[in-house]
Amino acid sequence: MIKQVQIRHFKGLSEFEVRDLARVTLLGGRNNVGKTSFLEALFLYFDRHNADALLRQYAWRNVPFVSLNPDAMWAPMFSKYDMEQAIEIIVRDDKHTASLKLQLNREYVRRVQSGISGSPGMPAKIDTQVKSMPSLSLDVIHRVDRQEPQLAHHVIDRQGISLEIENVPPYLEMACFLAATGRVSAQEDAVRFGQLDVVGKLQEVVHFLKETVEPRLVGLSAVAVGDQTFIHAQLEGLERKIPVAFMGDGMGRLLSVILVMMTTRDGCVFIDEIENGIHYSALPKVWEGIVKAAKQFNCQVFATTHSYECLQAAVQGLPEDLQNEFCYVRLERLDGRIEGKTYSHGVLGAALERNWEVR
Amino acid sequence: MAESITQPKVLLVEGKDEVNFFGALLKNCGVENVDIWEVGGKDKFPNELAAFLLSFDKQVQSYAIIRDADGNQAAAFQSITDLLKKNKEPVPTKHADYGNTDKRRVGVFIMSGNQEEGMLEDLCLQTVTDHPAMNCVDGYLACLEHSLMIRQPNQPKEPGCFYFPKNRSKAKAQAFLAGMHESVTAVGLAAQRGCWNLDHPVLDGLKTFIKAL
Repeated sequence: MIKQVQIRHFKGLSEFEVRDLARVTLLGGRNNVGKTSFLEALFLYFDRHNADALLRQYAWRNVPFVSLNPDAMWAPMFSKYDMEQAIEIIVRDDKHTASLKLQLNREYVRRVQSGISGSPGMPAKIDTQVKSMPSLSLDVIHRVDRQEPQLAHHVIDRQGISLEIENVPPYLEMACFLAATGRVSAQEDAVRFGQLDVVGKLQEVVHFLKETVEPRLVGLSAVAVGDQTFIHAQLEGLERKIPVAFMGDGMGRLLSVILVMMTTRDGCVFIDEIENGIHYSALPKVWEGIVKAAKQFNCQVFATTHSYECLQAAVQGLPEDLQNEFCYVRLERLDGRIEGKTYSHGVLGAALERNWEVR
Repeated sequence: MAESITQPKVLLVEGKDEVNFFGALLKNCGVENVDIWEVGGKDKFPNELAAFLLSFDKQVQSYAIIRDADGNQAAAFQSITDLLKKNKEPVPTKHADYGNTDKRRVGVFIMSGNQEEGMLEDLCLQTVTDHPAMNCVDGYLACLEHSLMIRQPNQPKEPGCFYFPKNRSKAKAQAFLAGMHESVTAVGLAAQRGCWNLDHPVLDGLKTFIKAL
């Protein structure tokens, strides 16, 4: 479980450190202080071997287009758009320290393929003039403790974006990001739903939703409609099942949250603006359900919020045996830097009781 | 309404009575620019101190923690210094002293006493030993001791029995305050109304400590 994170030169987090993280960490702070950037940086650490890792970050921010050049694609990830200073994300748990470095490499030489192209068995034009050429790469260097670093290179060229990986470990940690806006696609939800169905875990999903947002819920099922599959809900008093997509935002959001948590065993789940779509009265139960699920499925959750009610609910909703599994991190701009202050459950409760500003 | 800290110096005390008492004592010493903050009890110190530091870290230049000894001054001091270390705060090396760093100055004062409660009452009573009402108070306590049963710790209460007050110091302070011209029941408020002699030498150590804040 991640206990400490250091971030350097990533967006607004030019020199940031946060300690004493818990299984479920909630982040708060003023607008534009770097809450979502923190989630993105940490998710990038897990997503490092995905060719679309950087593009995904734009999608979550609702940026539909980006020019395929380093200034447009890569520079916005760097503090002050300065690509000369490497991005570093350092992650510590009880035993290990791992680091991810993203740095511009102006002299990267791509693997050179033979100039002969074409399909096997088909005539090929002979071209023996192909040479290696230095190109611009965003090098991705991942290291755990003092082990040999793993290297990968993001390259932008006329063919588009590619990721060239030199060495990858046999096991990669799982992580999933739920953005603040836009629902998770019905298909993604359906795939996770299916994974849980085959191992007989659906009743736990139903129980979570029934306890938090929909007490009338009797059951859930996956229904194929054309070439798509949609999750349908059966409610007390209704003969016909209805698509969850037709129900309120809170129901859809919480369904995605619990499906992701239950299918990200031993991994990390990132949830931006966790309170979106959820009525304040449901929040204490939501917190209890989330922390219980995180413990049961051994995943670590990082979420953000703007909501005071969400903080109060976390304090009120967690029974004593779950309180140590939760912490709150307030991001604050001090002397031009962003600082992360960690509140345990009890400390957050004490500050809220005195009406001290914690958001 | 938010309980805000507005001053650069803060006294952290256990309860409402202490807030009133130390308010009067600071005034007596001519010390200004100090906020007095009620932690709400010894058990609350860990969470309350951490919340206080997270909320007012940049603002507070010095603070002092004053708490009861609970019958063991060394253990009480150790408990507070452990808490300071955990929060990476300056740690004084002995009771009634301050620890300093570039960041801040932090003091710890443990009020001595042998009972679980009533240390503030003990201290206040020591300032009025020569008050004319004290003979009456001692006589009243002696009469109670003679007339009531003394209940030992852990001894179960028996129906129909009348027991001597559990906390002698609190009973004595209440008896003393009952003899004041104007009614006052809490020792802290009594300090503000001049019922205790805040110029008594028994308070010199405490006054030196809070003046050094």
